Amino acid sequence: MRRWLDDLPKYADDSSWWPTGTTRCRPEVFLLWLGLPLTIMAYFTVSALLVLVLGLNQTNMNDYFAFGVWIVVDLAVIALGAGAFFTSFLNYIVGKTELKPIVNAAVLIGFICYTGAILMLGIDIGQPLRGWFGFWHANVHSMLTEVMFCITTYAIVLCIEILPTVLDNRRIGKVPEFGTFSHNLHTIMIVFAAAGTFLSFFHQGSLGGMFGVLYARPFAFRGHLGIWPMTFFLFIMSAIAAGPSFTTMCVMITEKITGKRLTTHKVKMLMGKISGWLLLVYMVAKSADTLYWAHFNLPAAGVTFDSMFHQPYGIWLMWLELGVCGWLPALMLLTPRVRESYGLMFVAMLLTCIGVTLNRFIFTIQTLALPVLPFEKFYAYLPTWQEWGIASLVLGHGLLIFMLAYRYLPLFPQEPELNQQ
Amino acid sequence: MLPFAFEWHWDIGHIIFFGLFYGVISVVFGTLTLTILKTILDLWDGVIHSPDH
Repeated sequence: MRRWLDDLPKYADDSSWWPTGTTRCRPEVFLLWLGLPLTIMAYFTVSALLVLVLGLNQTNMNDYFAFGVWIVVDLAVIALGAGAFFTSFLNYIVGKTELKPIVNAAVLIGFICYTGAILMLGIDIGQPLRGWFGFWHANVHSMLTEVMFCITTYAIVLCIEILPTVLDNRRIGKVPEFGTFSHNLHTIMIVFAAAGTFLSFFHQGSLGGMFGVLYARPFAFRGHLGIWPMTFFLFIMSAIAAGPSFTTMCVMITEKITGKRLTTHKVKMLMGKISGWLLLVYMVAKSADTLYWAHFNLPAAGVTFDSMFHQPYGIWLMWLELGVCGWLPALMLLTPRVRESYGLMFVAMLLTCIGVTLNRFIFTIQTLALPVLPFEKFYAYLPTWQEWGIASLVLGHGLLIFMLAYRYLPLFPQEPELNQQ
Repeated sequence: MLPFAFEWHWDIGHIIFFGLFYGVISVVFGTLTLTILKTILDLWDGVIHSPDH
């Protein structure tokens, strides 16, 4: 026993699994770090068991709020995870190879966001074992059917896209079968990137379209372009604007925690510039849509602009979303001096991500808070601790996967070169 | 849902929805199958790749 304990550091030494040319913290420190996601996931497990066993009475959802914090987090992480499909699209299809140093991280973050959202939806649907019903008894008139088809299929695509990075692990890649399979997957990745772009494009749109077709809810209902409401296009635009920002932000946070440079600042600046231009286009479209909605859609529905806002969901939310977390980060990211500054670019990207999250919150919660019948009242919604517990899965699951992936997988090809002693 | 299920209707909604769905699924799994087959053929021919490509 004593000898075994003495030999423990030797058994715990995992340095042969680290990416070539990199160093990582000691195993015991890493195990301590793992305590954080595992604690969050324990909180999730308790909450999920309560909801699955006792039912939705554990939540503050009711006949008014059929959607709550789970859907807000779900829509937000799916928008923030759009960095995966858009970065892959730019890298593999458009040929923007300058993004290659960050594309693995983008795909991993997308994978985390989508799998986290699917796991959370498993609790949201109440009977996870019947999750396949949506495929077999599909309602082809529902936007959510398209969303479900695309999200699950895109999650499969993301698993395939992340596979070469897993197989490129220093030890796994030494197995000839895995190394060759990984090489062949790399050469055909353009097909998966194209499939991912198609799927992600449509489900981002359909998530927005779902709100835009709510004819009885003037707060969400919008005019149509063809068969698609304007929110279809706005959700796509906001997701592809926020996705690259979120990916870059995650890389920057990892750099600060690990004390290592993972990509050059030039790559981050390019991501910031892409995000800035896309956000500008989105803000022009969103502002025009808001003006049209206030001046034409609302009067046509027989309601006034002021009646759409009640505390705590006052008009300040709209200004916060469009101004502080919309136009401001767009203009910041388009300013070269801001992109050159690590801190300012981070702030601009953070505001972008808050803006898109706020947009999903407003569309989900404020839409449902407003009364639609004369005898109904305005209600506010606050999630219970069990709801927060289930929503926190995305964070716990994301941290766990990202920490393991950072330690063992060659996520950042520039890392060895940038951190030479 | 497959066309032989009782809920299936040969209308535009089912054809577009499921046509695209099965189309994408076929492309994704078809490409994955081809990649696996190519890997088997490469290994059969003694062509081995390392991760440093």
